[in-house]
Amino acid sequence: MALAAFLPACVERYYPEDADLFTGMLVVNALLSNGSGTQVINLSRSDGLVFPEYMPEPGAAVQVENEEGDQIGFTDSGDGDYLADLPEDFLQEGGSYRLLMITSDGKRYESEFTTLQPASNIDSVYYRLETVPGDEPGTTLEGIRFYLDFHVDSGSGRFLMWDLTETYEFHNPPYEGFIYDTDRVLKPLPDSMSDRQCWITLHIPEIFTQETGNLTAGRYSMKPLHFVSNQTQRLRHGYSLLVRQLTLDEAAFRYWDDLKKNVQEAGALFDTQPSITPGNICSCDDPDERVLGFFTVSAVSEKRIFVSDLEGLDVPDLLFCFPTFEFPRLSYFRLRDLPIFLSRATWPETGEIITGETDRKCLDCRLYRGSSGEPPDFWPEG
Amino acid sequence: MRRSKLAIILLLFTWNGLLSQETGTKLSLDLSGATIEEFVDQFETRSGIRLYFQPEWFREMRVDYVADSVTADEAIREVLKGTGLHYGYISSSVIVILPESRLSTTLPDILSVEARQGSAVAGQEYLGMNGSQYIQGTRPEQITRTISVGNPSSGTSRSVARVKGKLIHVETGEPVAGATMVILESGKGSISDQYGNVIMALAPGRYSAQFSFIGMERVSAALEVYSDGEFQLEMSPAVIALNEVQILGEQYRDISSTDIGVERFSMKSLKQLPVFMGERDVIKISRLLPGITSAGEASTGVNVRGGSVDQNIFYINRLPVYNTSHLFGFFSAFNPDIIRDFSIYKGNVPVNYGGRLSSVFNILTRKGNNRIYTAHAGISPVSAHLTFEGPLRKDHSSFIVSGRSSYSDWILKRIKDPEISNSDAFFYDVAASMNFEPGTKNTLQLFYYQSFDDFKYADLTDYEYANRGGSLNWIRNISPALTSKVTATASTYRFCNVDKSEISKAYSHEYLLNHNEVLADFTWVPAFRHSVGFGSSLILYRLDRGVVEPFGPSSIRKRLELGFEQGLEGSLFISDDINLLSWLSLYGGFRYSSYSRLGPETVMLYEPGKPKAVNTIVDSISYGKFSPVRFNSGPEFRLAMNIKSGQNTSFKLAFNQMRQYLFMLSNTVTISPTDQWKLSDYHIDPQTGYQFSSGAYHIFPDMGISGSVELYYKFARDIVEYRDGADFVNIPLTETQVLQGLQNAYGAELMLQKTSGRLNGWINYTLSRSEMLVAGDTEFESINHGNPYPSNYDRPHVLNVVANYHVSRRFSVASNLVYMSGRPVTFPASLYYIKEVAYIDYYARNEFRVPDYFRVDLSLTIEGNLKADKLMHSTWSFNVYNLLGRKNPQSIFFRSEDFFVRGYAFSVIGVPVFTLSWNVKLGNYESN
Repeated sequence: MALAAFLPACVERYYPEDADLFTGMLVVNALLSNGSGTQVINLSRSDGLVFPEYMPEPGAAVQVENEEGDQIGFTDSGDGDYLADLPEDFLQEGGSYRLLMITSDGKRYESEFTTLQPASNIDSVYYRLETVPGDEPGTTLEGIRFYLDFHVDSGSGRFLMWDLTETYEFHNPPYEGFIYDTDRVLKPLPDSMSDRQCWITLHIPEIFTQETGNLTAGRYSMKPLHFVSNQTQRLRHGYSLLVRQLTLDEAAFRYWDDLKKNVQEAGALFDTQPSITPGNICSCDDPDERVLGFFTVSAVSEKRIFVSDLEGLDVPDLLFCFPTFEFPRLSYFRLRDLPIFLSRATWPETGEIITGETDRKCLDCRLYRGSSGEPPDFWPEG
Repeated sequence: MRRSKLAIILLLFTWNGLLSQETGTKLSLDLSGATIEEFVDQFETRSGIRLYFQPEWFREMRVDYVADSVTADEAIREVLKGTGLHYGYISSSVIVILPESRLSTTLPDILSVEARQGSAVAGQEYLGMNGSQYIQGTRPEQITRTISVGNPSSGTSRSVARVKGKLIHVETGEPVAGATMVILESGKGSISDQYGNVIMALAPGRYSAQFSFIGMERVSAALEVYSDGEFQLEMSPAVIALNEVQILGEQYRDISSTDIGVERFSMKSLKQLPVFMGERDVIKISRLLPGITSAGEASTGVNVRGGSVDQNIFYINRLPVYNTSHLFGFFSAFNPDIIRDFSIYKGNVPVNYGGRLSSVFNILTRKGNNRIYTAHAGISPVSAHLTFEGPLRKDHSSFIVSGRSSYSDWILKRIKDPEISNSDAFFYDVAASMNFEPGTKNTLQLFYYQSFDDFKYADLTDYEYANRGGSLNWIRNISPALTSKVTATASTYRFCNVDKSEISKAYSHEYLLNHNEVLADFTWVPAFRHSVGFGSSLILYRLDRGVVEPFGPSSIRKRLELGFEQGLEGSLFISDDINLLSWLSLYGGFRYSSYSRLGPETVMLYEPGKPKAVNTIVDSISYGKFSPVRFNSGPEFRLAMNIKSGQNTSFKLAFNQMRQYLFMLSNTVTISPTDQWKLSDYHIDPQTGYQFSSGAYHIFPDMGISGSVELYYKFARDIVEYRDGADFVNIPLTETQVLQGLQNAYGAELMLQKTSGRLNGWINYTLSRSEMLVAGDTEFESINHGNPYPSNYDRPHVLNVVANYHVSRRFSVASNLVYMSGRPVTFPASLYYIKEVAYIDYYARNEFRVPDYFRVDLSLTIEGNLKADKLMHSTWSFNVYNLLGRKNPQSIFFRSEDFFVRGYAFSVIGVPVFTLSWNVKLGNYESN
């Protein structure tokens, strides 16, 4: 609740001292779903609060075991990711599974058994135009919010979580690109290093959960999902959202729900104490060792929605990636700083043509995080 | 009562002195508890002056006087102060001491002789009131009267006479509560109760009595006691003379009584303090006292000596009020206009109170003016208020009605945020009381109170909550020695909450609590310096925790009944307050309280040795209507001792035991308007608390400063804490959501106060800690892994400075300064990544603190002119809350933003808040 906002309340950045109480703890992200495809288990180490880094955990032996003792090994593919293609019939509704690991320092870890809950289906995913408060007090943001309808019935799982992935078409500005490389000659950028049209796929960093135990059977409509503002390119050239509805068991639900409350819902007038969120993985050698993360198996149902040509919402053509206003003194660059990239653009207000330094991503959109130069399979033609 | 006519003669006497001359000789005296003979001895040998007097004039007077190098005049003046005796020089080496009447050079005026059956009235007429156009700054000082009590002819067969006085306000006829009556000869005194009664047991004889109260003229009178009897004394308000502003008195009480950890205020005395948004607020003022803090600006209630908010009870005329806040704690739900005074018991709680571990707030309302009709009104940016009062039957009965209401939500409409400007806030409170005095022996008071709050936050959430109740107080003077007070109260608290944030799970929830109580409380003064209290109380609690119902056509929420609860709390109590020796007073109190949880109810039984959870339920038991589900009882000892060391210093010790049978379900750090009160039940044990306290008190009479140091150690068992993510709306089985643990708190409170002079106020510093421990058998049944952790309201250092400066009689400036350690907060222990999103790992609860709190407030008060004869008097006050605009964080929280976790500090009021308010009343500056 943001009730206090009617008074001259104020939220400011706060920089804590780095406590570094529990850095270097093993972090396990193992959310297996019963769909087809490659399953990923990610291992890393926790870090401090100030200047954190992702610290992958390489060289571990990772296995998933069912109640019968059948084990499937995951192979280290680098960057903390361990991959496996599970046999079609390995993850079954009602089956129980656990995770077994031995890290490179020889320590053994295992999770509790977790049971695959029956799947429940998404009815529909849709969006509405909305105006929400902006980051600065008194400002607003326009955009769309996605909503979801699903059915609650006695047969479906009681604990739902949604995992969202967005894909949108991204256009770099039509500026002419140049490269100044170690040969110290300014050349137009070759086509292989330039791409102006890309498709960016990102995981939405928000958790959405719903417990249905306190609901009667029926249609749950308008479960709010994330908001997309018109202040990025997302809604300009086409936007696709994949909603994966996961059915969890109670322990996994509590874990993700607490995690959600801790990071997304803090900061209200009537704040709750942050939850201490113990996972379901423990060390076999040292019961006092804390292991973060959760091993979850889940039934999944999916729905994808494509958004283009929004009526009633103006998506402005924002100026971005404009080159620096001054042409750099190229000979001053040291060899190790090369290559540098330049672009030539027209300043819209004066018509002045400016050539200056630019970020390489502004000429090659494939370099953005989650970006690809080719449209994904599901992208509509044309 | 014997039928006899008694006359009280009031003497207006001006002492010119027979012959007054100063001698240059200086002498030193060192007397403590000395008899008059000892004084004379020392005086005569050291000054070379002979004293002539009649020893019986002094009776059992004791002299406490330590002085270095004083003149003989100064010494003898000091010793005779208040005795009604005067002195004069016959020659430079002979002093004669005589009762003034025999020495008067002018004839005494007999002003009023009024007789009643067995009682008498000492009237007084004011020279300054009628005769002058402007209100006088000073009054003729040496007004001396004689009060006769009892029948001179009834003989002196009894060794002790019971003297009972009633102190009333001369203008309004209202009783003066908390005033002190001191017999100067013995230094013993009595404090008037809420009905203005003072009771003393005195040997027949002649005494000098002094009556005083904050904001009232001190009255000195000769008291002639013949036998049991009563008297009535009218006290008049003190004109705020520039050299004599009293904002806080009670010095005599601090030194002489066995009270420890008690704070008392008269509302009038707090007129000039800075206020928030123009609203005077007893709860905000109480937070400026040592040992009383809060979680922040927007928080309901108070934390007293390291206890939680639900460990305090608020009474208004003995009516319990369960939610004391308007607008989530920004304002308190008590209209200051009707409040006469309030007391806070945070140390040793008198035996006629119980039921909460930390403190009792006792708010008393004014009695309506029983002589004339009058009104007060005022307006601030937030609310407007009106009070109307007057006699029902002149001098016998009166009424007072007051109301306050917020009148617009213009503040909300000024915020550009669409969710806020679509919000509405509204509150009101009303209070009314009627007083009847059908005879001299009975007083009846009928009181009604109601408060209401409504807040609609955009289209997302509605809150509505209300208190309502009435009390009937009947005081009967059975005999001069025995008084009974019978109180019946009925109080309800309800709230309704509608959550519309998601249409499919929208719900409404209504909650209702009923508190019905009967209390009988007797005071008996069997002998000299001895008072006994005893009584009994019975409370019936009925809680309907309500039904969570689907709201709106799209909601598929299941209807859920949270349950009905019923409990009966009874108590028997007796106390004995005795002044055993001139330097030693003892208070012994014993309260036996019991609690029965009553059906109808179905109790779940859980697998033994396992945490209580839905999946460990093995059986259930059903209880029928009114059948006992659980019975708890236990003794509560309240012991206190006062050791006086000299006239101005005392030391106190106390032990206090309390039991509490209901608590608040709150999983938030501060109290929210949807928090439910809940009774102890089959699974949840009553809370018990123990407190040891000690204090040292000293008065510096010449400077008008008093100082005190109090130390306490508290220990409480079965304090209710909440599991992570506890839910009280979706889960009716509370025992699966709460844990019980231990609470430890200790501290030292230093207080210095100056009550007179142009500059007055107080400074206090508190050093304290408050710690919790919830260590169950398993991690699931523990909090913070079974390790101790600071409570949410642990504030080790607190400094409050309150200063008032009277520039002139019509203009004053006041300022508060508040410094507190930041409250504890749980910080991330580390950070980790899942799918490139940063998550926080929390481990140790409340290990860190938000930054320290510091605030300065300022107020300017301008009074209307001082003409005595005018229709209305108005007052403007200009307030600045948080003058420095400091952003004091109420909380620190962390959010995951893509790859990083960012910390934020949330401050409720981060700018100076300016308000102007205007108050008006009928009558002149002095009118009540």
